[in-house]
Amino acid sequence: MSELRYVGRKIVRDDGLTKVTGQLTYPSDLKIDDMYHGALVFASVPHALINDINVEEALKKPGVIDVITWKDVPGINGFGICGPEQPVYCKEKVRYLGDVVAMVVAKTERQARSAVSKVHVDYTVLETVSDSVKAMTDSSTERIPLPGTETAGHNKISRVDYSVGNVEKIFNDPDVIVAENDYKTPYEEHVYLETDIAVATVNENGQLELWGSLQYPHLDRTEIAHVMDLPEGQVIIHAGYQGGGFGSKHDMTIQPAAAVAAWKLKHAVRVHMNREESFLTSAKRVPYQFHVKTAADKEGHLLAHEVVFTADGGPFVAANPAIFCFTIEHSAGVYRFPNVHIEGDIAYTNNAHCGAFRGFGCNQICYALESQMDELAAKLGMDSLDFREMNQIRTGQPLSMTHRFGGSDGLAVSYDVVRNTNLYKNKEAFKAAAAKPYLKRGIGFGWALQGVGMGNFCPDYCIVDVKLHEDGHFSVSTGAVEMGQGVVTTCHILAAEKAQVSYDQIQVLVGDTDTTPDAGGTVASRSTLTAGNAMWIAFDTMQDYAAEELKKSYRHVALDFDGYLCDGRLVTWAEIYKLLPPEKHTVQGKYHVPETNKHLPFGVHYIYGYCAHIVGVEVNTLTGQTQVIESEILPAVGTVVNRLGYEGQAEGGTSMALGYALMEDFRMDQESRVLTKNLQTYMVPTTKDMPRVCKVTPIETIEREGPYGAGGMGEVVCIPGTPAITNAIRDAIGMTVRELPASPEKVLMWLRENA
Amino acid sequence: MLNISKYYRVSSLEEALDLLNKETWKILGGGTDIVPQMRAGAHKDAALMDIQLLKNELGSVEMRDGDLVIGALCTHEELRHNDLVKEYMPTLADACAHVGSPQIRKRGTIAGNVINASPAGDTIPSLVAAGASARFLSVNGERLVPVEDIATRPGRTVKEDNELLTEFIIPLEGKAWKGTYDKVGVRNALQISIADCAVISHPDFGVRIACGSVGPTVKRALQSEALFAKEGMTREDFASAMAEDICPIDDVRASAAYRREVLTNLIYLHYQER
Ligand SMILES: Cc1cc2nc3c(=O)[nH]c(=O)nc-3n(C[C@H](O)[C@H](O)[C@H](O)COP(=O)(O)OP(=O)(O)OC[C@H]3O[C@@H](n4cnc5c(N)ncnc54)[C@H](O)[C@@H]3O)c2cc1C
Repeated sequence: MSELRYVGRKIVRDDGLTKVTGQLTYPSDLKIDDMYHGALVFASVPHALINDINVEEALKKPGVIDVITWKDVPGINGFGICGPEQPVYCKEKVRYLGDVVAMVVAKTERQARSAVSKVHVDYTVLETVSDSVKAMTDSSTERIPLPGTETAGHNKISRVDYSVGNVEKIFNDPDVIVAENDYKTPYEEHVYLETDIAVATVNENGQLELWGSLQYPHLDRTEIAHVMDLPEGQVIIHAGYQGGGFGSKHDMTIQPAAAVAAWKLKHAVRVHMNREESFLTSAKRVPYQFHVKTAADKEGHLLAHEVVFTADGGPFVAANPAIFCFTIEHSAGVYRFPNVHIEGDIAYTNNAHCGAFRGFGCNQICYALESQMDELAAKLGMDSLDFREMNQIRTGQPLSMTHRFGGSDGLAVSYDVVRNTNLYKNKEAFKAAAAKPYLKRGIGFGWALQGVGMGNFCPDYCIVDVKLHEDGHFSVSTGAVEMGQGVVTTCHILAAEKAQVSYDQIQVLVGDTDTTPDAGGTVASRSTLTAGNAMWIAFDTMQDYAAEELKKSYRHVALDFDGYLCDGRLVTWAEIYKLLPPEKHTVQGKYHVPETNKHLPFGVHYIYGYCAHIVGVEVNTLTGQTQVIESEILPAVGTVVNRLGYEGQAEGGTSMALGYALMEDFRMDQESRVLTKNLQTYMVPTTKDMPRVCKVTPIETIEREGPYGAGGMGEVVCIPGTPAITNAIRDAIGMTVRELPASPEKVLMWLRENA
Repeated sequence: MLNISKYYRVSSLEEALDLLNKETWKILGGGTDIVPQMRAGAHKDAALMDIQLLKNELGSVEMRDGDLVIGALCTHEELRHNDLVKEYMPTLADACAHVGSPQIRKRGTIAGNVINASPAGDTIPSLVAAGASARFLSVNGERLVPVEDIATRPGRTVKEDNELLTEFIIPLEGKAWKGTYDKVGVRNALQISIADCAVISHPDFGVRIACGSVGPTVKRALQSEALFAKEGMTREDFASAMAEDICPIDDVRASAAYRREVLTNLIYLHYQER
């Protein structure tokens, strides 16, 4: 595709300069004259019935305007991605320590915060349920969901049991080679830089207007309208530019609470969580316990795969059922198993609220599966790369879950590309280069696939408006949110390419229910594919209008750079603007992501992105510390739209995979109290932890469904690095990492026991 | 939310001592310990005395009578690059290089690190191992306190309210300390140590070891030190010595067992490599 003008180059992001100079306003920068400030009253116990909320003393404190509680909620006192189950303000019970019981509104933040302890809540304390297995299996544990909530069993959010073929028959065959292991993954906190914020006000038209930490403004508008009992047209949501999200902001936190306060007081109210509050309340990556059994024949052909798991969903349904289904869908990874059995339950507990996190349930199972692949290869005496390649799914075949899939052919070539990496070619030299006898080196791989878009779980569409302006420039608007991932720049590049205009002739607007159409959520690695295709449709319409109009006056009309070549003369878009009737100045494109051929008991995708990752690590056998020395990530996600953005995503994904592998561990005690309250004890990698060699090698095969062949890469790049690292630890010292993170302590204690 | 009653920047040592004698102040060095503590609710309504302007008086490193003298206001960043420190007390330079992040190293001071009295203060093991003392000054005069005796328990010191720490004196007899400083954590920067130790030696004073984050205060590891004088010691010998030298606890960052194991491994390594 050498004729492409913008796609595939290194283009500096549109918002780069305004970000580094501090000019760009994030929601937390917003100041409205005279606005009030809210401070949250959180549950003081993780599980209790509320008898009484007494606000009298708080109301007397200086500067306090009001204390908002459930009584002030005009509509449904609940919200949540898979059902309005999280209370805006708790009424009958609290179910975790991040539950909001009330909000003190005062003239200053300091006044509001200092009155929080004066709100007195009388509780009948209930048993804390913090063990996810016991929560579901022991019916004498206290029930967590609110009365009347439908569940899949005692304290059970959902359950899936799905089989293809017959795994038992395979496992019973004495000739097969079986690897059977337990794996465990931790809660993970997103640590976006901008902690959760909401600023709500009632504007001069009497509409509720809200700026906040949000990843899907149009859905948030619907939810807030329900909470407020207002028509959607009465609610305006501005999400625009966020200081990071990584999926967590897909779940709202304090935004509905702020909306209720602003509406009641008919005054602007700002609520901004500090780091500790954000850690306490925001959705974490769901922790899992897996029991995995994988079988192959003696030649190394995979035969059967069984995954039995429980997950801890925390106090709310939230996005848990969708995440859980995603795990099931991805449990066979990039491999072809004729027989699978997947069975899992997800529990309610009083622990952290769980939800979406970059990778959405794939990271956990990918780590377990890729560990199994290495273990099986070792048992078979096979090279683990050959073993993987031999069992990969092939284009045209259905996936192990039996549905058909599209996508690029990148996976098929990825094995050879990995064999060609410097690290792989020099693996023996790499391993021999450890400087001290107590430093042990190893290399490891991981492969992942990741569904792009919502799957057939829910409607998956994106709308883009394209508007031609008088001076000939186009504005491209869509409800996607810019969280740092670069969606604005990606849309800009794709629009300029499709429109065939100078780069500065495109303006991109995002993330606002007032000025941009519904893009679907900015989640699921979907924006490049969906917004790119929707604007493609819109520009096609625009170009048809233009050509039709021009053909009235010219004989030969052809799209050219910055306009149309008409009988040898360039008619610019500014001139075309004048020729077109006003109703043709704005066009809309709506794109639906194609669905796969089957509806399974869990939503499945048609389009997937792939990624391979190879790393070289060094384990210090005296301290248990692991350093990733070299890393090469090889995403196979179609065309590179912007080389800079692509590398940024892949390097950031590498660091996230490294954190999940080696250090990130959000912990609570048995009473569901957070132990890792802030960044002092919750460890995320720093630049000093990044590998000295950190290469990004795109496997650029065309994603047939995507704009200019581009697919979705946001998530898949943070997944295979984790098992690559744990597999490299195995290669270095022989330890199979059974529980993430592979902290120095776990590694050293394993070494002591296995010396 | 910072709640302070007063902030004052003193312009001379005399003024500082005078004010410290009259009223209760919280001395503010780089503020990298105090400010986060205030955010967490400590030092409510404190009167802060900023001593940054005393940099001329308290900010130098020099050799005095064969000893290395380090001013209280020296920052970690200055110490890690200081030629005298690098030559005579290299483990201290190394420890300073591993404190926090560039921002923290440029603000945080050595006196603040010691007076904060955290068992995880990175500069403390080298100072304790070398037998360094701190000079405390007040209107009533001065006194020298061994660094090992400054902290009585986490966050508490023997410093009197009217005293200011002015400098540290590291005994050298004109000769350099050599050795290693190990800091164990789960990542390579911005890491409060899980366990750390300085294993140093000096032609006149012999081998000295001090360990941090494995007890309420940083202490010499006397039993382990003694083993360095003997030949043929095994890892088990060191494990038994460490059992007496340190008393770590389980906390959210690591278990006591890990702390014991890792320090035993490291000290035994240095014994083998000595
Ligand atoms: C993000 C972060 C990372 C950190 N990482 C590390 C790390 O890796 N290793 C580590 O050891 N520490 C670390 N710290 C802690 C801190 O930076 C150090 O302890 C630093 O040396 C404190 O020095 P300061 O001058 O900032 O102390 P301040 O906060 O100013 O003071 C600390 C205490 O010392 C007292 N004090 C200060 N100077 C004097 C004086 N001259 N006389 C008498 N009393 C005095 C103060 O009253 C106060 O009680 C970190 C802190 C932060 C915020």
